[in-house]
Amino acid sequence: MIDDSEKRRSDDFELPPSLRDKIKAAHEVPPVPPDLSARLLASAKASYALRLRRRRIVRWSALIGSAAAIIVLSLLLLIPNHSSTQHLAQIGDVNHDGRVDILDAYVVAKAISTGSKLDQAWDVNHDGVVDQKDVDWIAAAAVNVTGNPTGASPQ
Amino acid sequence: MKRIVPLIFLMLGLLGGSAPEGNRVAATRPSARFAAFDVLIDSGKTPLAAYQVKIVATSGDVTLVGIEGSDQQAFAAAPYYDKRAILSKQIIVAGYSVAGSLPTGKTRVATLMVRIGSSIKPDWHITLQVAGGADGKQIPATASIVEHSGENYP
Repeated sequence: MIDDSEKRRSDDFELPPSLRDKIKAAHEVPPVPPDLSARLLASAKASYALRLRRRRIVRWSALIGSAAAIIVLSLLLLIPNHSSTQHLAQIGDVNHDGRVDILDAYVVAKAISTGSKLDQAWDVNHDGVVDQKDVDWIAAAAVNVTGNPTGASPQ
Repeated sequence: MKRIVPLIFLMLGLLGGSAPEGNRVAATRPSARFAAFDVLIDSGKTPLAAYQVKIVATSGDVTLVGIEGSDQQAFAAAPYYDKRAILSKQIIVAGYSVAGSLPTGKTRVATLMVRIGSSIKPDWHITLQVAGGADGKQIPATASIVEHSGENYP
């Protein structure tokens, strides 16, 4: 049991003023110069603004990328596929009427038989010469009903 | 020799047994006949240099077995057609001529050889896809198909 006299002694305990001043001086925070404080604040604001800008750029890039991907996919779905028949139509359409028929083959055959100038675009089989094989190739494409123009009987 | 004689008898027996079987199969099949149909193009007074027709068998048990050119000099060569479609009921036939003398009026341009598997008379639907003159330009014309009769067309 602590008696009253001892308790009073501990409550009345005080550090010596010189020691108290020394401890206070050791833990005292030196004041920050106002210009340094302003510079630090400006730097922090700039850093934060940069981070915010980068985040915005990333967000917009992702948004633009997604939109571009959607547009490309939509175009791929909307644009009709070029079938092989359409491709053939473009190749053998000698008279440029939008389709391959016997008249295209006839134009080339007539030019060959009369010795007229031959258009290199008529070399539809890409063997380097415009000849009867090209005529047969165009005619085969014209009568094709099974999807294989090489299956046509030559004249 | 003793071994060969039974073998010969066995072979003769097998051959003799198979012949009636073949006859029975033939007897149960419906009678089939072959016929020829002429493809005619009428270009009127304009000389015909090229044609392209689509022919579809709309009725009858018909199988296209071959296509020949015309007896007409200008279209004597076999026409173009898709050989893979020869056994189907739809085909496109086309031909051209670079000859100096081109036919006018109703011209037989090709003959279809067909196998008719039933008694139902075959019916055809012919569409003229294009007809061209000597200058390679499209000309007005009509197309028809008739059973070959040997008739001479001009």
